[in-house]
Amino acid sequence: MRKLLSILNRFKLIIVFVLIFTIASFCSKYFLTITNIINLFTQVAAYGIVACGMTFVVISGEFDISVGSVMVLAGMVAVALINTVGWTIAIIAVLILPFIIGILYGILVVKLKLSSFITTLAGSIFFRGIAYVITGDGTPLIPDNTIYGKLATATVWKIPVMVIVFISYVILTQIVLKKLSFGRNIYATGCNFEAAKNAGINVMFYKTATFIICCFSAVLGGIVLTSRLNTAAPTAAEDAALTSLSAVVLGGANLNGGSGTIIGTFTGVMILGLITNSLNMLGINNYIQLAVRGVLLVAFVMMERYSKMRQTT
Amino acid sequence: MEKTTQKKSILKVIYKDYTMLLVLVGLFTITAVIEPVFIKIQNLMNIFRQSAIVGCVALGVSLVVIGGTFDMSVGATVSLTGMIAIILQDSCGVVGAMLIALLIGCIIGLLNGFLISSINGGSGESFMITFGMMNVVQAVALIITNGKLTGGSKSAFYQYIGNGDIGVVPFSIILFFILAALMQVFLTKTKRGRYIYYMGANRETARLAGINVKSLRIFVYMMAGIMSAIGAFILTARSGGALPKAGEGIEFDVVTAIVVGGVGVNGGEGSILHTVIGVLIMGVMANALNIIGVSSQNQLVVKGLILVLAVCVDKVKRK
Repeated sequence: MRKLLSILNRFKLIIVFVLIFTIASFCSKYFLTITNIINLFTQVAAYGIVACGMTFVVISGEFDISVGSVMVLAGMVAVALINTVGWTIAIIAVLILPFIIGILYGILVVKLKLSSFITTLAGSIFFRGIAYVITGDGTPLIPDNTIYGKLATATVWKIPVMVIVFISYVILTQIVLKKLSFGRNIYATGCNFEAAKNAGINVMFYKTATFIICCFSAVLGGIVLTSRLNTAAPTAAEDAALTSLSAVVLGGANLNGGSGTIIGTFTGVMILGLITNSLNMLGINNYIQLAVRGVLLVAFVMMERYSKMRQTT
Repeated sequence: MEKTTQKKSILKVIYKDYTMLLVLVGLFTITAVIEPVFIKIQNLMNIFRQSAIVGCVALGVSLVVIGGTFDMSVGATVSLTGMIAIILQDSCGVVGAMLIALLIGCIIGLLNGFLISSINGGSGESFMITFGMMNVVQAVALIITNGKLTGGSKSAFYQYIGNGDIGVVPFSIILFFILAALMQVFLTKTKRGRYIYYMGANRETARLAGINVKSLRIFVYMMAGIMSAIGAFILTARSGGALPKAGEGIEFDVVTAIVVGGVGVNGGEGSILHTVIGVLIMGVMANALNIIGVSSQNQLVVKGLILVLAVCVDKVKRK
């Protein structure tokens, strides 16, 4: 019995995934079509990319709740610069952006030892404010150039580019985290900060690096999002932090750092996407979906803590 | 010898407690010099009116923060309870509707507190759980109204909460100051109030010392819920209508005000006086920026900067 439980525990995510998938296929005949499966991936791509970056921050033992604002800011900067000064400067600016924000967070959180929650909360207010300042009066920016809108929606063999970007990003971050010493050091930093420091790991560097990676993911996600919508609105992506954190926690990461995997996060992202997609199919309105996502986040945090508490006692 | 050390410590306390008061006075003077419109009675009362909403919510959240955790769900609670208080006025009467709204705020707090205390969560867990609850409560508010605006209250009594004056002073700010005084007395003069400090300083020690930490945690979240409902009354009475997202972002304002006022984010420190100062600083600043012509959306930049700055100052002081 105990063995069965432990097996169930290990594969619970996959089981949940298969369960929802099966129910959804039975409930709607449109669910199990290639169009809808591609659609599902398209819907989760932007937040999925962000969730990959969030995994790094959570493993190192911190949070980043400013991802939504950074997404918006990145989209804004990209569109505004493309409209005014052209592609080259826009690309350079967008590539520099995550380094500026990440290093800033690194200084505040690691050097000054501020709580990452308060710091990124302030960041999320600040960067959304900057996004509003860029628009001037709060109206969304629309790219003059039609290429920008096609960046993400173009297809290769019928698969949208953004889905390819998403999947490649998942694979890339998985390799960084699991196969490189860089990734192992991030785990060590999150698992036991003092021990990692004493072992000669440059903890300051690794924590800052996770913030940069997370901001980079948010920037990439922001480009995908604004390209898909072909507009950059300062009000977009408000639920990005909620969704990506839920996916990471659902994927089995510990909120106190030291554990979590990209594969877990990917499964979490897909489960959340699946829920949204199937609720949409069943014609359930957005507000109820918001409630469902909120309940899920609370439930995942509770489950994760409960299983930890059972292990320790 | 003893006297001098005592004197020194008093000076130290004054320095620690009143740095933010000095900032408030400084901010006030500078704005008054730059823009004389600022010190007109009408404008000052306007600041009070605006501050009362965030202020009431901040009083409740202060207890949570002093107790060592966070509450992100207050903004959504303001939205929901404010709407309930207006919608139910036709069927339950004004007082009935307000009581039900208070009860709902209380239930949301109870849920928050129960969930967090049952997993013995620290500040990280409290943040995640109330973040989830924020979305649930917001969703309920949206579902009830189907996302539409509800009209304002017709009751003169209800409108008085938001717009009424006693002499020239708005009723809402008097309500806020009375509640603040009560809260301060509760925190410093009662056993339960002091237990909140112990719990915030070290939860495990407090538990071992025989304090019922579980019920105390539920209590602080319930207070946050109730105070959010009171803030919601002022908000919806003032604005003459309730948007299902009216309270959105209040949690940011509240946390900023609390931290700016000097209530430490690690728990076990600070007082209601700090919160009141923080609320007034944020109110004066928002008003000053409005007068200068910075839109409320563009003010987000300043708010974010101030929050970071306040946490840095808090950290330096602790060293």
